[in-house]
Amino acid sequence: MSGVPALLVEDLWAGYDGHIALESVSFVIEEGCLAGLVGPNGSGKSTLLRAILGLHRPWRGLVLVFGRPADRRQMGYMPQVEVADWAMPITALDVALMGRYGRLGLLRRPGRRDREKAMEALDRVGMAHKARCRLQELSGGEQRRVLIARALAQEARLLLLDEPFAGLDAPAQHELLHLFQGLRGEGRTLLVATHDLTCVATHFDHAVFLNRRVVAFGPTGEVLNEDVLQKTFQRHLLLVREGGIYAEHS
Amino acid sequence: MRSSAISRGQAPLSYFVCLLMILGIISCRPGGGGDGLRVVATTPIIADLAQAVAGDRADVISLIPAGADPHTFEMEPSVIRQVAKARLILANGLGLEGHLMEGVMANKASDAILVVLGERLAPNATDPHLWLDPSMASGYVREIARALAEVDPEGAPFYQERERAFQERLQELDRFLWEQVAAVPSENRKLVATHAAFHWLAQRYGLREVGYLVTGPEEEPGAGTIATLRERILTEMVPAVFVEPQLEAEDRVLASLASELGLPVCTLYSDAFTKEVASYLAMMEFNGRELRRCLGGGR
Amino acid sequence: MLSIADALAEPWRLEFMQRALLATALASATASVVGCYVVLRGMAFLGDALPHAAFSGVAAAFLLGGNVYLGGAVAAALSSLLMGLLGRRGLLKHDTAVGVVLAMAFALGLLLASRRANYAVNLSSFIFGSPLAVSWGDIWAVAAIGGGVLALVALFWKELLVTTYDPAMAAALGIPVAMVEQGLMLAVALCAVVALKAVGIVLVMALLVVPAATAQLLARSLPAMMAMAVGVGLLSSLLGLYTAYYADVSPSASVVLTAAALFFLVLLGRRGPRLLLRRAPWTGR
Repeated sequence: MSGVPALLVEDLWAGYDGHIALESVSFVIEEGCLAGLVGPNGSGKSTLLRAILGLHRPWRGLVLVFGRPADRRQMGYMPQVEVADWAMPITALDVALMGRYGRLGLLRRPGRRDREKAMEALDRVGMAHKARCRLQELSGGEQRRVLIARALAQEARLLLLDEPFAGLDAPAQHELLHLFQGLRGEGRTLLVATHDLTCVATHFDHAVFLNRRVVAFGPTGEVLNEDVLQKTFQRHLLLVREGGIYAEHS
Repeated sequence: MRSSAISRGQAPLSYFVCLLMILGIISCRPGGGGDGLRVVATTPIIADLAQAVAGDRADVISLIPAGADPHTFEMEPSVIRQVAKARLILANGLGLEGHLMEGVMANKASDAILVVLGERLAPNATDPHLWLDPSMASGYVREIARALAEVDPEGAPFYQERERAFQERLQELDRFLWEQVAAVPSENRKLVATHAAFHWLAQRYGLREVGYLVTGPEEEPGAGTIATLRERILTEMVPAVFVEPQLEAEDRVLASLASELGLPVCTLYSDAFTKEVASYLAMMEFNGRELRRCLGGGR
Repeated sequence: MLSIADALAEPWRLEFMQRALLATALASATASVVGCYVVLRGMAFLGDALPHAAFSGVAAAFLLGGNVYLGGAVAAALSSLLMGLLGRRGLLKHDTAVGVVLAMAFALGLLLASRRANYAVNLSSFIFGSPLAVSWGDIWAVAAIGGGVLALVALFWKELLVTTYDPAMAAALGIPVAMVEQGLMLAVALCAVVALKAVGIVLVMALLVVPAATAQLLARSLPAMMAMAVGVGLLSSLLGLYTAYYADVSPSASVVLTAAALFFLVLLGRRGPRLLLRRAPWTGR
């Protein structure tokens, strides 16, 4: 493990139509971490991920991935699930294969190697046996895993995931979490945007607390305290501390 | 607070003055400034016949522009204005003018005279293209002269003289057409054209109407119709087909049918003039020569 | 009394029927393929708007004595750019942008048509189609343009796939999403030009949408969906032309109605018993 952080963000400012969504955001994520990006709705989590990927132009700021300027094709990405079209006739393998497109460029077709990589990715998430199934036939959790396979097929060391737990029941969430921990074990770095505070507190090793500005970042054990939570969630949070578990209440 | 140039009490007065001025301007008619009598004809063909009789005593205008098809012509604002200003309106009737007739009826001045030539001469005719028979065109000219004399009694002798002269030319035309058709071998005197416009022409000169692609230009020829026509052309051994200059879309269908069967495609004038052929007499002479040439009567 | 075999063969002995079938088949094959994207992306309105917009180019081409196909293509392309521009800058909802440009372009076409100097030209054949009047030259043009469109779809297969399925991800993969969308609109515009003579402007949307919608009910993958859509399109062309021939009715309308009939047949076959027997369950929404 080298000393170069997986992700370095410095003084990032971004917004829309004159509204500030991100204000002087700075944080560092080391390689091999499972980091949560936590904040209430509207705190700018999606915007931050998109700004890191270069999908959203920041007004100013520096983003370095493994010490180099960010190249979105080398970051695994799982966007928020609402924007995808589930009615499309497409198989799990097709979806996983999409992850390879970034490497192919225009006009080239996926070859055998790409197909192999896609299958490997599906296997990694435990969906290889359903490679030929239509997406519509899969359960919510399975679909989510296929999307992660897509991010994995990109063969990236840094993965950015936007609300992967949204709409899943508890068992499915656990499955995903288990997968994330496995990926971390392989040496990958994951930054997961979520507003599930409990999950982050319990299973993630690092966290970035965001509410337009970075309230705090670092190992969960260190940064998770009432002050940080208050500043992040403000009136959104009703603190119920019971055995170290915090509940969010708006 | 802006100071107003016109004080409160005077504002209504100034509006009233403006209104009066506007009314005054409107009521001034661009008056009988024109030299001649204002005559309006629905089609260029009728206009041509009318101008031949009226000479320079009247301005004859055609509502439908040269080259347009009278069956499908849609009223335009400029056209409506002409209708309203005319003292004499000449129309064909029998369904030729389509919607235009309604527009004419609705917009003509109450003291204007409307003469529907076709209805007067052959009230029950199904084919409105009477003028393609010179003997019927003769009737048109007679009625036109009568109408002109009614509207402009002073000019009656003038119109009569011009009518007489034109009737002579029509008789010459009739003889000419007979000659042309006589030169065509009798087994070839068969007519296939784009739309059903030639009943009167065929009847006068003994041509057999084998078939038409469409009854009226607003129709779309169906596949069955085309097939039937093709069948008839083959069984009757028609020597040539005739297209009409103002019906380009339907002409294309007939022309491609003819090219498939290896038949020549010739032209006949019916409802409209072109730049090259722009008068009734020219049109009929052209038709005569074309019939002779294409049906095998030699040059 | 004709035997069935005779009745089936008879129309195709006539050259004008052969040409009509070729023109309609080529147009519907192209439109069916592009139509799959139109249906999956919910672009049916656009699929109607671009052909209407093409009309302004057709009318202009006639006025200037130019090539109708070129005029239509240029007008549709420009309109699609304008729609894209208006919709993207967030000025208007995409739907609204499409509606505004459609209205403007079509009315412009009508205006130009009313000003035409050459009254012999009847533009209604472009609005409603005139497959019985196509020439061999037209068929070559249709084949060339249609072939070009299909080649582009094949070349940019994966780009179209990702942008249709997940535009957010597509951008992350480095695909120029806006360009691909614009390219798709262009493909729709070219379909309009290809189908101009076969079914006319008003019904192009039917060729784009109906076969693809039918295929969507049956297919399990996008290539299968396209193949089925093309099949439905070709079948509709064939059956529609038979109907037009024997019933002596409008060929373009017959083809479209046949396609619609096939759609409902498949729909009933797939979902019929459930549609008809069960009431819609209360979903609590």
